Amino acid sequence: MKTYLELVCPAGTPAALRAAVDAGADAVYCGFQDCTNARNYPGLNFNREELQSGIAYAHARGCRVFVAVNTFARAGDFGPWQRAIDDAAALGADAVIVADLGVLDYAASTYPQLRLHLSVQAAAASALAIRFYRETFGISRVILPRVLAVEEIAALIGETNIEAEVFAFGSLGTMVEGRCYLSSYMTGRSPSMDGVCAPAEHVSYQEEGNCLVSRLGEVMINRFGPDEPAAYPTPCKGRYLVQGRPLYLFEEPMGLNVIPLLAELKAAGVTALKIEGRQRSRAYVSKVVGTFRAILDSIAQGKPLPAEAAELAVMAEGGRETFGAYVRGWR
Amino acid sequence: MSNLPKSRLTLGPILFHWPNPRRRDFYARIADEAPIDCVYLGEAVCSKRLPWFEKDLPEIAERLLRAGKEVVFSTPALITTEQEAKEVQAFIEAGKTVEINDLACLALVRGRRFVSGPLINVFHERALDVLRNHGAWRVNMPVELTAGQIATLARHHRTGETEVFAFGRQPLAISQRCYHARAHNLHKDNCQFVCGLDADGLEVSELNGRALFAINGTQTLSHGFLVLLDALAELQAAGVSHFRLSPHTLDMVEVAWIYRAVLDGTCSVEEANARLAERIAPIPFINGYLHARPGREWQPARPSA
Amino acid sequence: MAEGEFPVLLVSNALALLPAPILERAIGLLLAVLARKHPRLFRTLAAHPPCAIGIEPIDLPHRFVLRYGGALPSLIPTGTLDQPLNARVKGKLETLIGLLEGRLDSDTLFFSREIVITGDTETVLSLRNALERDSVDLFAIAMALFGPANGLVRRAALTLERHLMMTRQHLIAWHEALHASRREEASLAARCARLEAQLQEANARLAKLEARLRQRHLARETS
Repeated sequence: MKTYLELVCPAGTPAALRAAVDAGADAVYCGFQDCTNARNYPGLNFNREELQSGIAYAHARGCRVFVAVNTFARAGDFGPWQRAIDDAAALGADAVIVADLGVLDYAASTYPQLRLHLSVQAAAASALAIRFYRETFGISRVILPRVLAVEEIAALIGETNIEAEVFAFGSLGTMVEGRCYLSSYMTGRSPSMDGVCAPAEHVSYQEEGNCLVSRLGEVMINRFGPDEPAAYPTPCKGRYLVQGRPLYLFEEPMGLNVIPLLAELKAAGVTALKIEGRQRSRAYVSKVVGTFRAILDSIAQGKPLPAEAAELAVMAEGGRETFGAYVRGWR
Repeated sequence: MSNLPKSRLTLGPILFHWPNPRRRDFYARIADEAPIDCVYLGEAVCSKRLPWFEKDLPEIAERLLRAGKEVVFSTPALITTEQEAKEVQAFIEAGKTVEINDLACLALVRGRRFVSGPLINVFHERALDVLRNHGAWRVNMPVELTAGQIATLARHHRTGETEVFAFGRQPLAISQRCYHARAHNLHKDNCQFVCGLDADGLEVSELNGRALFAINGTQTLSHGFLVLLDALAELQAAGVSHFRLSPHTLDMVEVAWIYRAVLDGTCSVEEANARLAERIAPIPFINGYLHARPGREWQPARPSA
Repeated sequence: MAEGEFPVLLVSNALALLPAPILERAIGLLLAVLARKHPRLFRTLAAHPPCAIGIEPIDLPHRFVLRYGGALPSLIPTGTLDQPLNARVKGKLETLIGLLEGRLDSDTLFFSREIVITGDTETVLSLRNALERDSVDLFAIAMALFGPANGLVRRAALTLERHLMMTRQHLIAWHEALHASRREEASLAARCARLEAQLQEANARLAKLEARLRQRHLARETS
């Protein structure tokens, strides 16, 4: 089945998986209900039975399922990660998405037939890194960190000939992923090991006058004026004082949207587009996946882009969109 | 404590963009006066800075070696360009011992011994084995680990060396984007090396004025100083062989002597903490991660039974 | 109250005039049917530690306290929310219903300040994720209560659809307005950016000259 670009979509819950598959996903990615994946939030993710049903539902409709086991195993506690790989393999997942050296080692040596995708949490941003992971563990695909410009992506793919998946829509972090401690600095829970960045249990919002103040742990992350869109208190999206001036020092709250760059990404040799948002609602998944499906089909058939493409902007964090690092000038 | 092998003190690479005269004077004093066993030289944060001081490195290394110190060359936390990869390769081919801070370098160190730096993700035993199989003999613990996790890894790595970051502002994150430049309305491409204006990092506060981070180019550090004086004995007993002091503008020779004294038992932890607090006041001490707390917190030691 | 009038009242402003005891009875009926149709959702809610969430539809005089965890869930109308609560959710009634049914994205509504969530965020998030797993269709339930052919139910469903579409269009319009003002700023900003780039280039040249001067000065000092 030849597709213009493969559409890889988030499945935070079994209901969201069905929504994504129905909306036209080529593949969905999901995680188990524990710390082995990077969206370990209450009420999210799949138990083993739900994954089995989900895989059956997806496969019956020609859609693949990737299981994310992309956090870093903890000292003295490899069990959950080992079981996650074992169960994903046993249930017939089409690939596992992994970042940790030890988990890669276990998966590659125990299940040589199981497709390995290198998670963005491994932060492999150079040809050297990709070569290392491919030679050592036999990864088939790399999810590229969101810090490379399109020209750099083209050069990387040209040099390594690796299957590349890039983020196309959704939230984006500004730090190198899998190596960021900003959230654990404030909450004590580690994005790398626990799979939670800015976990809800440490998030609070308070109305102060007509402003909304967001906090992570005891740290004040932002104060939104009455006309400003609100945002989740992810530390890298906060507003801080630098030399007395309030400023979005790291990044402004906004969402990634690469629709105008699709042709360039395709020309750069990219294989798949990844939609971020396992923690978002069914409504989000249906809307975003459906719109991208319509857009990709239009391009494949040489037709003009559908009007709904413009409506996606509303769902972005902070109500604003960006091309992120894909276009020079971000650094 | 007398049964354990003597713990060694290391000096981490200068994380900040110090001018050359300052660097040279700093290392001269370290060579002559500091009880440091191993010195890490080089640029770990931003490869744009390396051309400024790399020609001084051979002479500094030579001086440290003559003073009986071990020398290891640190490499950048992010290897993205071919140029950066070539620079690391040049060090390795010249026979130098390197500290790697980006896993990409595992593709370059094959067959040679190397040090795995504190910016490498090694949180459990199996990952550590992969590093060992590639030649890592000294492994730095990520700063996010608890004392218990460090102990587990040190035990697993008992035939090698385990190093822990024990003093200085804690590295929290690295990015391709330069925040120092951004704070001055510039970009990484035309940064004018404004990171050189802040020798200990640029202070960043919450909107309510409370200090939170220190910015160092593309790196984000804690505002507070990690001080592990009260945990040295426990970590040493758990198998940690090296303690790293990260250079700041205060008198690092004095800091090294304070740590050496606590390790040797010639100075009490309380007295050592008090002396150090005077030197870095009003900046607070932190040690949250070691105690499974938020990293920015300070957990006073339990009173000894 | 005639049972057939209930679904229409739910979406019309006449709801504002209903006294609390009658409203309470109507809600009780609804919850009973919900429990029968969504046993897994109610089991998940029951497994939660006991909590109370204040619901504030800003276009009604009524406030509601949603309690679950430990016992059967209850949604009690009340005058004010002056009591200990784990969290509060504030927004227009049709927005809240759209949220309940999973037809509107909660994050988008939150970003645009259409809903305001304060207090224990984790509790609200768990509730949202529990509702996400079970598609709650309020009008299917109303139909189960009053029969599918009921014309009032159909009319009420159409009214709600219209409200939902208006909310979506309102969101898009708000977003457009936000960007329109930014677009005007953008052309001015483009001119400023060009001037800034020229200034930066000049600054960079100056910095290089200064650096060279400094090096020369240092070389003179150390020789």
